[in-house]
Amino acid sequence: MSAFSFQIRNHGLVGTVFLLAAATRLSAEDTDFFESKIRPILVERCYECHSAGKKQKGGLLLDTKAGVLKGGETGPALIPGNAAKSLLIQAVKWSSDDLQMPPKNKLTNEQIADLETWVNKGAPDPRSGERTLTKIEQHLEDAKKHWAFQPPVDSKPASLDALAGLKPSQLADKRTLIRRAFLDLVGEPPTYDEVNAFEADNSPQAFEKLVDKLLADPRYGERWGRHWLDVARYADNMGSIFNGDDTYPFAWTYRDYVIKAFNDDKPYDRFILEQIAADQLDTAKDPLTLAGMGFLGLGTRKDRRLDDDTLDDTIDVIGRGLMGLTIGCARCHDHKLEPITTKDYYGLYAVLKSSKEPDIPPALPQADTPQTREYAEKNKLARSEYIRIHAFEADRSMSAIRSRLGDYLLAARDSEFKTIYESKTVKGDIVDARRLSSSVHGRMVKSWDKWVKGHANVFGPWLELSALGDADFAAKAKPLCESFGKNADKKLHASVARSFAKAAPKTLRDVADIYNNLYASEVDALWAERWREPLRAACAPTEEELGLPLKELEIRAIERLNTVQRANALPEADDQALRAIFIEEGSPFFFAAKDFLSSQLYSTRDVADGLRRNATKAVNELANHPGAPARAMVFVDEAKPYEGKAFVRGNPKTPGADAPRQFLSVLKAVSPEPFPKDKSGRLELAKAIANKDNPLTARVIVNRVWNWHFGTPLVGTPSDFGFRGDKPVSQPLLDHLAAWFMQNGWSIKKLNKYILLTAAYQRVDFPLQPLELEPFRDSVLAVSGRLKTDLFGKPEKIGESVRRTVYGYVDRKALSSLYRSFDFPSPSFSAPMRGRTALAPRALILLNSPLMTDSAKVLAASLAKDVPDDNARIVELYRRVLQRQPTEKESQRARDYLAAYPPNELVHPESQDWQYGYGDFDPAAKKLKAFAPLKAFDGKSFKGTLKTADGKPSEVKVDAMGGDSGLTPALSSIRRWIAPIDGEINIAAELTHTDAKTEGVVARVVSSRSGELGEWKAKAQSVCTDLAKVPVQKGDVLDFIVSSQSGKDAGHYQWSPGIIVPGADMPGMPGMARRWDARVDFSDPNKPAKPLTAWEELCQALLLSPEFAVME
Amino acid sequence: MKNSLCCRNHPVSTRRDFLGRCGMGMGALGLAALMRDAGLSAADAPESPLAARKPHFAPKATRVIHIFCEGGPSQVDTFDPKPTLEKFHARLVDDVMKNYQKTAGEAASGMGRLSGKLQRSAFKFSKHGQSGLEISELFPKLSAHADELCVVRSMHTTTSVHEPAQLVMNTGEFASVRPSMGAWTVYGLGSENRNLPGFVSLSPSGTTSSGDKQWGNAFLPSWCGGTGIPTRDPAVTKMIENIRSGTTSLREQRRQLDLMHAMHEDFAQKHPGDALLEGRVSAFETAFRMQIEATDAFDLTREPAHIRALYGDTEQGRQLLLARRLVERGVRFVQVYHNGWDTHDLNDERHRELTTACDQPLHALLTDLKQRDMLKDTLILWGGEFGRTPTSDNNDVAKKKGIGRDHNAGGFTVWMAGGGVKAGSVYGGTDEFGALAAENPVDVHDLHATILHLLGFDHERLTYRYAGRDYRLTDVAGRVVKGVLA
Repeated sequence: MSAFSFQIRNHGLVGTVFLLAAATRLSAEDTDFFESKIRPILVERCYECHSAGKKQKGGLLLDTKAGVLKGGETGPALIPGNAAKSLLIQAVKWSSDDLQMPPKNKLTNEQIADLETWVNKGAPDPRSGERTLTKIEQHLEDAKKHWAFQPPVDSKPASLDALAGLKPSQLADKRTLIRRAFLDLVGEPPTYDEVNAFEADNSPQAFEKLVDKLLADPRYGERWGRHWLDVARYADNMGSIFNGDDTYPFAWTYRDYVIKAFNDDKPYDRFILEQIAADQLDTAKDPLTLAGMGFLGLGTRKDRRLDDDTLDDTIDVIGRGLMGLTIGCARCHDHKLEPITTKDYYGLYAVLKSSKEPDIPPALPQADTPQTREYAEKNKLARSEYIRIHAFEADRSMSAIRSRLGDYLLAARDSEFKTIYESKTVKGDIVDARRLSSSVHGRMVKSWDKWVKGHANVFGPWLELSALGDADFAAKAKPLCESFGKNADKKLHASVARSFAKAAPKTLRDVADIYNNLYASEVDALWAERWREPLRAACAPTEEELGLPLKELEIRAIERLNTVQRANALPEADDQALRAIFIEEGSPFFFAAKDFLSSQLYSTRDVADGLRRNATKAVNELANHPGAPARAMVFVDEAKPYEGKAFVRGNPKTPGADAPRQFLSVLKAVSPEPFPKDKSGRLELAKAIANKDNPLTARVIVNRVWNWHFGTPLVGTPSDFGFRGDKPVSQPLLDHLAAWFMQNGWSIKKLNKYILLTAAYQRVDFPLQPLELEPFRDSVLAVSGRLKTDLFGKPEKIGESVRRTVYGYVDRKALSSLYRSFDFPSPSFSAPMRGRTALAPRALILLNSPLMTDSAKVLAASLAKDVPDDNARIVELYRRVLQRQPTEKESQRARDYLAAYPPNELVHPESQDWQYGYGDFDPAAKKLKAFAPLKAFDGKSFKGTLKTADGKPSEVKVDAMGGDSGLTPALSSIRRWIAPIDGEINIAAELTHTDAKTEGVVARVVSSRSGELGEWKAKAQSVCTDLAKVPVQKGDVLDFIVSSQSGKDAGHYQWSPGIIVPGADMPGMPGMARRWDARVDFSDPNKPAKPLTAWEELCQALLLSPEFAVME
Repeated sequence: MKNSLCCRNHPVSTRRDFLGRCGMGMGALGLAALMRDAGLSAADAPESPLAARKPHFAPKATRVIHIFCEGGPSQVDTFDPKPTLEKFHARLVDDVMKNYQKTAGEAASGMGRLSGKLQRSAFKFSKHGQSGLEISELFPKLSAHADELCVVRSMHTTTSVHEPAQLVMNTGEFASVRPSMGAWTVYGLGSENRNLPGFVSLSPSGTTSSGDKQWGNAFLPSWCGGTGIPTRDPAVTKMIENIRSGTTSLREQRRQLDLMHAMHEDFAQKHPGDALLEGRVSAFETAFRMQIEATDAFDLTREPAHIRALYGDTEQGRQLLLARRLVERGVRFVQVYHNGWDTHDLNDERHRELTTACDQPLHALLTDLKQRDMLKDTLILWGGEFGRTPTSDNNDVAKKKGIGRDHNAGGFTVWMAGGGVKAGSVYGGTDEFGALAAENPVDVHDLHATILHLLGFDHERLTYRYAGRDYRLTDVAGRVVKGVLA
């Protein structure tokens, strides 16, 4: 109370202070009541979830008086003096379903009464102290001090190098420098001539001129755009987990947009606006801008529609990608580590939820070419046909259903008018068994009173006859039918009367047939004459329908059918009257287009299915037509913005507090107002991000740019600038760059140049960086002269393409090993930076893949053409691959390499040690009498059609796995191995015969030195045929002979031995036992794989060199 | 400042950084101890993120073979006998199990379609081994190993659609892309063979209907991800991409490498001690030897005849023998896919075929691992993404061909063997019909937590920082099922 005494003495405000003190000081009675009744309840039943240091559910803290009065997300916990209006009391009374506290065991009535008494007394509370902050409140408080949320302070340095605090260091030599700039900015090395020209330019502006040239090079956008695509988690498909086509057919338009944006040096703030809200900007001048919105929509999806997980992915890429904030964590609860609330998350969620993808994305402008015209023509035709097939098939299907009118009448009666939904047995026993449509049945039952009973002129006879009961049905029905036939009172439609005139139904089933027949013959037959022509005429697609998704087009087709149905009458008014009943509103047999589809009424005849499938295929295949329009993956605002709530634990079924569309609370100062009520708020969101006052956006991008240049960022966690992210190694440097960047029009190119012109960039000890996949592959293709340099366009499979790597199809579902082995980031996530592992799979690709060997071949061929002389050619090779002259040592090494090239080296020497043939095995002598080679090789097997002794044709075959023997032992199939060395061998093999219907085989291994080594029989079984420690000398022959056992079809066998010589090494691989593998070694000995020439090998070796594969 | 420009401490490029991000790295063990134990010094560390590491505590299992019965085996026909089904055979489910789903609680929501008629098992169950474990006649050979098996009969999962349920079994999650169990294992334990991937997935086609996400690394470093190997063609050149050159002999490749090394020597003089360059050299040498060594690992004809005969020359036999050869060579996690368990029609006939295909190979695997003394620290997991209903699936195809069973996410069986599980035991149970997990239910996160426990990890501490959060295989759930531990 010392503070109070002070005030009393000095200010003389005795009265006021006294009153305050009196209000604070509790009577002994109140204190006692609180301590004995209320505090125990709070401590035992409430603190667990509502106190500092424990859970803080709903932001409510009940451990101080201040906390109780402030309350939580839903407002103050109590109103002193008014228990009835106090949330706390309502909650403990469990008076509503939404608010029941404590949630598990309700308080006792006595405890509740005590709390009520307490509140009504004014909630006297002796507890003092400030309300502690909840965790998230504390985070928001801490954020005020966190470096990344302060505006950058620009120290305006004399030079960037001074700021970077670099010790003076030598600058790199000019060749290194130009290679560095080329690989960095355009992702390819310079040519030798470019290096020379640069070296010759002694002007002080030489490097600056070079930088300007490279920044103006279109390859710059391909290289730097790809950096951005890592952030944007770019891929060409959804990675959908369900079967079927999950391609994003137009993702590439976003990729092209990014490339162009970098080439045009689009200001980064504008770049952000376009990617989030191009639809709300003026894009008339450059419609490609719309494609920028692919940024929002091209993430991982489970299926084509946008669901909450897709939106979560979008929020993540906006948060981490643009601002270095991990907003996604707040989906289920306030961020546990960062100043991001659930409300923030759902504010952004609501912005995205208020946006949608239009059914037909806008087409991007296209030149009028013969291809586009051809596409337009074909598209029109295919869609017209699509509409026709679907409309006709729908009518055919409905006609089949209507012609079972009687069956449906009967089904309704037999099911006692229960709809299928009421009892599964009805469906099972009646609808399914009779192959009726459950939808039509359900509608029949539901509309019975109105439709059936309402059309007595048609259904009167049914209603009367079905009332008769089974007993004496025929007798009772006969007079009735006669009277229907006479139709004296003209109550029946003439055709109905006609149908009953001669009828003598024995059961109600017979009556049903009369109705089946009535419809089919009296209505459908006539109608069939009328509808085809008008429908056919109506099938041409409208302008809009030329671009509609097929599911929409299908609806249009059926709508056309329905229109034609209703617009065309039968010529006789009488006939038409009967027909009208079936197509009127409320008829169980008339389906609006969407109902038709959801009821699955198409006939399932195979022919019909096939027709529809083909029509669909014809339209879909046109998407790949070269003249097909490219489209932008845009978003547009919903007509009415979504007003949502935060979901408790991320579950849409448990909405919590309101989450208005607005910007993040921690950055409230940037954009304090909630977003407009009549729009999604996407543009406002984009503006809040691309904002000079946003302390994160510029910092995040300059840090990325720094990383893309140096391979090391200033902030080690480029997508996380929050509390848990790394601190900048030099905040003055980061801040200066951010401020400089904004002052210079958010220009990435200017920033590139600013950095490149520093000594930090040009110095000699620049960190080595391995080339990423794109510059490596592009460089290989470029120096070998294979690279196709077109800009833009549809993606191509990387293994089959010689375009730049940025145009490769990025497959989220199965990223090819080339991407994976080069640490290409998983396209499922926005990637902060790339990994750098040097593992064997990449080396295997470099050694063995066609990318490398084909490039080596092309390079060698072009060298051979241009430079005939070996010595000069070596110089030229170094110039092309490494942009320098070889040293004398290197030239000598290359000459030595070429000279030591073995003249007759085979790619796969082991394959030469095998032969494939047939021959006659003499079982008595246990010797092979003759061996003849099988000469015909079809790519998979050696085979021949031969003749048995008695002239029967008989095929003999040997393939990689096994083969087929001929019909007789004279035509045994033989796999022959000829030992190229002396030694002791082990043979491992398994003989498998699978076809029990055939006779089975007998297999033998026969050595030219030692005779038969083993004999095995197999019929529908597997048999081990291993042999150990067989001595051989060079030139010895081992025959693996398989014979028929009985002169009949022996059946196919598998027998592919492996041979190991433990005492000998693989050539070139000491310590690895020499081996042959019948499967791996199998090839056409007359067409051995063509080995690389000496020059081709040398070219590949240069492409493998470290100097080529790293940026110095 | 100099450091920021020069340092090559890329987040996933060096072992030191890697361990820094690794939730297990800095715990009780400490970085230095960890590196020492793994026989690594900081100097040779940077380029070997795959190197073997020790987990949080002494592991019971150091490698895993996961046999994934894709499609969902029927528990009531295999390891979960239900005599009650005899009693109510062919009765309508609605009559017998009135209000069943309501009382069955949450599990029912993901169960699938329990409709139609109850369907007894066509297969006889009997007790096996000293444990008296009940196994149906479909597994005559495997039954001999009853005393090794630990059968969990009370599994349940969150969805009854194949692909998502498979993702749940493999990654714990289907709505988002997450690292698979094998990737987490390699991330935590590294690998014992640098010439082979740490995680290999064997399946006939080398992929799944939902792509390689089933064994993907998601946001974990790329070396954690599984390598999908198609086993349909047993030639090793078909199984492993780029494993052999089509244009250069090994001898000539050796010369190319030697030339490259000479160039490296020159170049390295300019950049002395650069780890990046050295790592490159060793990667090439490894790759060169892999061409034969991997061939060896994948070439089953190198296996003695009686072992090959034991497994049998069938798809499952070959895959399981391959799995054994791989774990034997230090591959940490091997997945073997056995496709075709989605028996909507002809349930009995197809279960007969499927079990005929795998009974002998499973028997072989257990026998073989045991005789090599590897069963004690190899964990085998057998099971599908969910189970099947105890009722008949009366779809149109089944009507024509023969009765099948539908998907059942509410209750199913997996079994484990080896690696520290309680041998010869049954854990948990389904209700009397075999429909829903009833006694001691185990969800997939629990199974994952238990497997990580056996591998020596506290599943709550095996974490990876990504996008502002520490992620783990078990997300925010999972408890170790103590009852299955030995």
